[in-house]
Order: sequence, then structure tokens, then C-alpha cells
Amino acid sequence: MSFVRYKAIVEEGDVVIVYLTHESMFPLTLEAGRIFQTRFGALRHSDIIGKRFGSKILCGGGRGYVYALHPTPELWTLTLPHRTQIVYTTDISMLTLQLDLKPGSVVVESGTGSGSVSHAVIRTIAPTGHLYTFEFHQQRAEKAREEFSDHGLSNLVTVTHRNVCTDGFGLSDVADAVFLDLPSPWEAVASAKLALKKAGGRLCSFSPCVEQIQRTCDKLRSHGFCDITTIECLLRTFDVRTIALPEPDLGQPDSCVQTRHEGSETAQSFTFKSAVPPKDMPGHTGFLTFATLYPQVETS
Amino acid sequence: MIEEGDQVLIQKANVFRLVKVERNKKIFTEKLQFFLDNAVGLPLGSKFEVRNKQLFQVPHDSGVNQVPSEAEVDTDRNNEKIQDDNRSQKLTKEDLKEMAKQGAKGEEIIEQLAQNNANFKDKTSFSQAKYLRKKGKKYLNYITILRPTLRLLCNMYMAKSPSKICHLRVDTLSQMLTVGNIHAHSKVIVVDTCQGLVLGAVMERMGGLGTLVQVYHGDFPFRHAYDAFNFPASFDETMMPYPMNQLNYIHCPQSIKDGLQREDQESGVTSNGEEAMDQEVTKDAEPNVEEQKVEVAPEDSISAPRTEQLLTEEQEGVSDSKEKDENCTAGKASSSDTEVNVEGESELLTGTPNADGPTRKRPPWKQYKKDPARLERQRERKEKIEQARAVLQQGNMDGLLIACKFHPGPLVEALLPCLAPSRTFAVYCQHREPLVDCYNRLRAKGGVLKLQLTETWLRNFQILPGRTRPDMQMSGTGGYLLSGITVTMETDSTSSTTEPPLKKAKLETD
Repeated sequence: MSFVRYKAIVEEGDVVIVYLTHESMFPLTLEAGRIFQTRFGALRHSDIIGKRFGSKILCGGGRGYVYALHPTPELWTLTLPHRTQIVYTTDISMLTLQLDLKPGSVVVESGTGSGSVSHAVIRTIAPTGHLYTFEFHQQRAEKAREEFSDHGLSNLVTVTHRNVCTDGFGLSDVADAVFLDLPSPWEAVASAKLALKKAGGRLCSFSPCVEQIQRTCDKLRSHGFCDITTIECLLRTFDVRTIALPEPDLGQPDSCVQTRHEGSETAQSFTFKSAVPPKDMPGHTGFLTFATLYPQVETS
Repeated sequence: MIEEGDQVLIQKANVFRLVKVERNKKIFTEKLQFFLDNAVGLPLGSKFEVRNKQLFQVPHDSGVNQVPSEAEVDTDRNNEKIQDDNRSQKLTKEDLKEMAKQGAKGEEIIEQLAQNNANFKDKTSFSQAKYLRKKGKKYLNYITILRPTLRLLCNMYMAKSPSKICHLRVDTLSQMLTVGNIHAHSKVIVVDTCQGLVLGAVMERMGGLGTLVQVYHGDFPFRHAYDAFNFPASFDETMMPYPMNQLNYIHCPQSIKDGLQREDQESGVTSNGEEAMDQEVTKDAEPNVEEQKVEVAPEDSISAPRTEQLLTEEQEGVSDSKEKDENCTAGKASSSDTEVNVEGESELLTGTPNADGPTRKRPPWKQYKKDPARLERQRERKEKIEQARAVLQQGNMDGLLIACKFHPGPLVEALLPCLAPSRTFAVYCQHREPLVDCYNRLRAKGGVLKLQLTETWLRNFQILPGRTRPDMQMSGTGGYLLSGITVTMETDSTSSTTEPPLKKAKLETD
């Protein structure tokens, strides 16, 4: 099984995303004979094995049902075990596009964290690209390595346990793009520049705070990065529903005589389909700073 | 590497232009004229100075002002003494003209302007930097030659003619590609009336590996933005065009073949009509589009009825003129930092490959009709359409992206059955209401879950020492997106909703 290649039929050992409701999904690695307890009842792994991805699976002895979905980096981002704060799909989409990623791109990332960005990046740069990802927390680095292997991505990614702010990436002239998600990204800028290809490349830094981007931008400028831009991108999800507003009762239109009449019998509604914005929504995730390193010119 | 025959983007300040690299061809952009000859063979991303219509490579910091650091930021200077009387500049227009005539470099002129500006030394260092940046836009002749990446192309269209790409903003496009899980070795359907921008984006993310079915509107697949990506020829082999007006015939092979034969017989008779259409098309404001259309139209025997074609041409004309108006207003409203190109649409298109366009003259229709090369092309095209239909018929496609000017509802309904279960789709629309309709249709039909109607909000920031803030102007909308995941269709009618009934009930009474 691989996160970067669709297949039709679920096999033992595969990861499926079990869909209960819009808000409730779980990743599940299938082992025949095992049982997964859901709020709709017990789900037997062997009931999923052999089915098509996207099939409806009965659970709890037929009382409830779930869907077994093919894993994608986006579903993984929604269901992965959190070891850190993660970057979500809206920001990941933007950084993937702004870093000009495509199959064959070589990307350097730090930190790996819970692997939310890593999975999405690997999907986009496969089958010929490579991700070098760095994590300064040893356990997290090991866990990430394990996950990539379980998800069939090992040949596309190298996980290194290292603090890049103090020890650097140890790479030179290899990367098309660098992604920094660090508490003090400015400390990694010099090393990131070294890791980027001499022919040039793109850099992205994700930070929640203004002070962080302030220092990062200063550092990027002093290291010769150009086209430095900082953006914020938020997702608004609408609730599509039918709304009925009661028409106000203004009295009888044709009559000047005030009479008492039964409002409830004649009450009409103005009914319409609407996309309602959420009452609450995430108002800030982080700032995304992008910069270009252009090919160096030999002064003639 | 900047190579002959490739399309490149030329950047001057904030303005981008798509051109084809050719020797001895004069490029006009932003009041500059030059030849690209000197740039051929140099790396993409190189910066040049324009001198005597030739390009000379310069380092990237040329003409860029240093940003004052926080320590340099002075607080004692302000605009208390600055007089707004239009007399601060000692140099006259004539002086400047004279300097330019004597071959003064842009930097020298700007330095003189600053020295002779009575208020310059009283300005804060930020204000000074801004002054120099503004003058730089006018007097510096630097350009950068860039690879046309999706990022830059999308921004270029958005700045110049957003209606050509249905106002699809870069962040929305990025969501589509990610949510649609576009990757190599997948089989994707794209419906795109955004100049082929989405098509190009998808092809780039697939790296020429997999299958890409392009559902096109009109007589032939239109790929202006797609061509800007400079894909190798091998990528084309993974591309299968399929006409939109045959989407209803995906599953009925007999009728489609009958239809083709019937129209073949008719095509001889309607040749007069086609001539008329050619004339009509030449009135259009877009030179290259019409060339391509004129070139291809007669050989396309399975096109929409002619009247319909004319109608669409006219509609496009209308929307284009409206577009120009929009551009002008945008130009007036924009701040001095964001320069908006108010030039016409056609300017954008001048970079299209048109080597054999204007010079090639089509022989008379009667003769051309029997031209073996034409018949061969026609046969190949039909074959590709048949291939596409066969692929769609299997119903195991991996992804569907729709970004077009049409109501997406019928398109989604026609194409969703072509997807395998547990695959994602994303539908873009500039307006929200059609997607609400789409949402309701899909909910009624079933077979989808995680249906989401979303919008993204994008804001740019100025990050400077002691002067960090959001940009004064921002985009008001980037359009809307409906996305979801397919699942196997319900067979029993008792549980036709994909969401638990309890939740649904709650939503509706809410």
C-alpha cells in the first residue's frame, strides 16, 4: 500500500481511513481477526479486507455502518496522531504551490513534527523527487520514520534526527525548495541557503507570530533572498441549508378596518437555500513567508 | 536555461509578460524595447539591464534599495517641515530629458532627482526608500526572465485579465490541486475554461505520468496557459481531449458513432456556413485565438452546431470588453505599490507561438477538405476522443477538477459516475449559488461524503523593521470551492443519506 498511488481493493496490512461522520474519522491498519470499537458498534477488520475502497462496511452486527476510505495526505492530516501542533491543508496547499513543487522536486523540511506537511509534500514530488526532513526530537524522528515506512513512502524520504538551527542541514546544492516550521526559523536561513541548488530555489517559513517573521525576513534579506512575501490564508467552510423566514404580519392589505385575525393560519415563510458562514472559525494559523533564491551571477 | 522556442515570463517591477524566446524578435514591454538574443543560454531567473535594446546580465541586487534596519530607523525626522507645493523638485522635465539624451544611467538620474528634491533629506528613511523605489520603477531598465511557473502565471492572469481565468485566485487553485489529491500516476478529469491554466497545473503535478482527460468546450481544446508550461512533447501523449457536448454520450457508443457519421456527411454542405464563421471570428479582438480557431474549425466535424459557436463568440466578446473596464477601474483604485497593467487583452496573447499562423494561408475549402494531412489529423483526433470515452466508461478515474464559466451542476452529475469510489473531486465556481445548487443535487443523489463548500481568504503583509502591517489593498474574493469524496452508491433505499440521519435532522431544523 502506498499513500502516493491509488489502488482499488483493500488488503491486509493496508491503512484505511474509517469514516463514521463528517467530524469523526480514524486511521486503521488492518489485521485479520482484530476488532475496532466504534460508537456505532464493533467493526471487524476482516469485514473491510477484500472490499473496494469507498465501500460501506456494516458494524455492530449490522446496526451501524462506516465507510472505508483510501488514505490521502489530506485525510491523514485530519486523522493523524498529534505529536506536535500541525500545519493544516489550507496552508499546505498554498506552500506546495508557492514552492513550485511537482514530481521530481527535491525538498528540505524542518521540523518533521507529526508529518502532516511531509505526507502532502511527498505525494506531490513522487515518484522521482525526494524529501529530506529534519526533526530535533529523537522519538518523533523515529516515529515519523516508522510511519513513512508503513505508508509505503520510505524510498521518497530521508528522516534525520538533528537540530538544524545549531547544526545545519548538512546539505549543499541539492534542494529546489526548503520549508521551515521552527520556533526560530531565522537560525536556519544560512544553512537553508546552502542546501538550495546553485541554480536557485524557493523557501517558505511558517510561523504563528509577527516577531518570528520579522526576524526571519531580516535574515532572508541579508542572505540575498529576493521577492520576499508574507501571506496569511484562512479557510471558511459554509453550512449549506434551507432557511425559512416567517413573513411578517402587517394586517389586511385591502382593508382599513382593523380586525383581529388568526396569524398562524395565514402565516407564510420565505424559504431559500443558503450557504451560511460559520459562527466561529479559525482566525489565525500562521504567517507563510516565501522567498526566492536566484541563480548567482559570476561577475564578469 | 533560457532556450529558443520556450515560453518565458518577463518581469519588470510588478508586471509580468509571457513571451516566446526567439532570436531577432523585438519585445515591447512597459515602454522598453529589446531583443532576447543575449539571454539565450543563461539560467532562468537571470536579471538584465536593457541598454540600446540589448540585454546585459546584472546581479540580482541591481536597482534594489536596501531596506533600512531597525537601528537605522530614525524617529526624529517626520513630515512636519515638508511643503506640499509642487516646488520641491529643482530639476525640470527638460533637464531630465537632457540627462537621458546624454546617456545617463537610471541610477544617476534617480540620484540627481533625490539630491535636487528639497524635501528628500527631511524624509524618514522609509519614506526615502519609498521615494527611490517609485522613481526606480520609472527610470530603471531592469528586467528578469523567469520560468513560467503556475504561481507566476496565475498571478499574471489575475492582474491582467481575471475574467479569462474565471477569477480563480492562486490560493483557491492551490486548494483545488491539493484537495483533489492530484499526483503522478493518477487518472484525472479536468474541465477548464481558464485558458488551460488548471489543465497545465494538473499536468505539472502529474509530471506527464498517468492519464489526463480534458473535457473541452467548443471546437477544439484551448490551451493557451497550458502551453506556457513548456511541457515536453511526451506529456501530450497522456492527454485525451473529450468534447463537452458529448458528455451525455459517454455510455452510449452507438449513438455517438451515428452522430459522427451524420455530421461528416453534413460537413461538406455546411462549408459556406464555415466561411461565414471565419469572417465573424476575425472581428474578435484576440489575434491568436482566432488564428487557431480558423485553422482548426473546418477540420472538426464533430463540433457544436454553428449557430451555437457564433453565439459563444459574441458572448466572449461582450465579457472581454467588460473585462477591460474592470481592469481600468482596478488600475485607478490600486495603490502606488501594486501596479496593474491596463493594457488590452491581446497584449497577453502576443506571446503565443504563432510561427506558422499569419503566414499560412489555407487553400480553398473544397480542396482543403480532401487534403490527406487534414483527414489524418481528423482521424487522429477522433481516435483520441474514442480513447477518452473508453477511459471514462470504465468508471475508475481518480480525480475530477472543474473550473469553468458554466453551471457546474450538470458537469458534476455527468462526470462523477466516472470516478472510482473513495476518490476526491473539487469544483470551482466564481459564484457561491451554483455550488449551493451543486451541493444539494449531490446530497440528493448520494454516493458522496465530506461534501464541503469553502472559500479561502488571502491577505498579504508588509514586513519591515518597525513597520509591519497588512497590505492596504487585498483581494475581496477568490471564488468558491465544492469538494467531496466519492463512495460506493447505496443499493438499499432505506439509508440513502451518507450522513447519520440524526445529524441531518438537526441541521435542517436549525
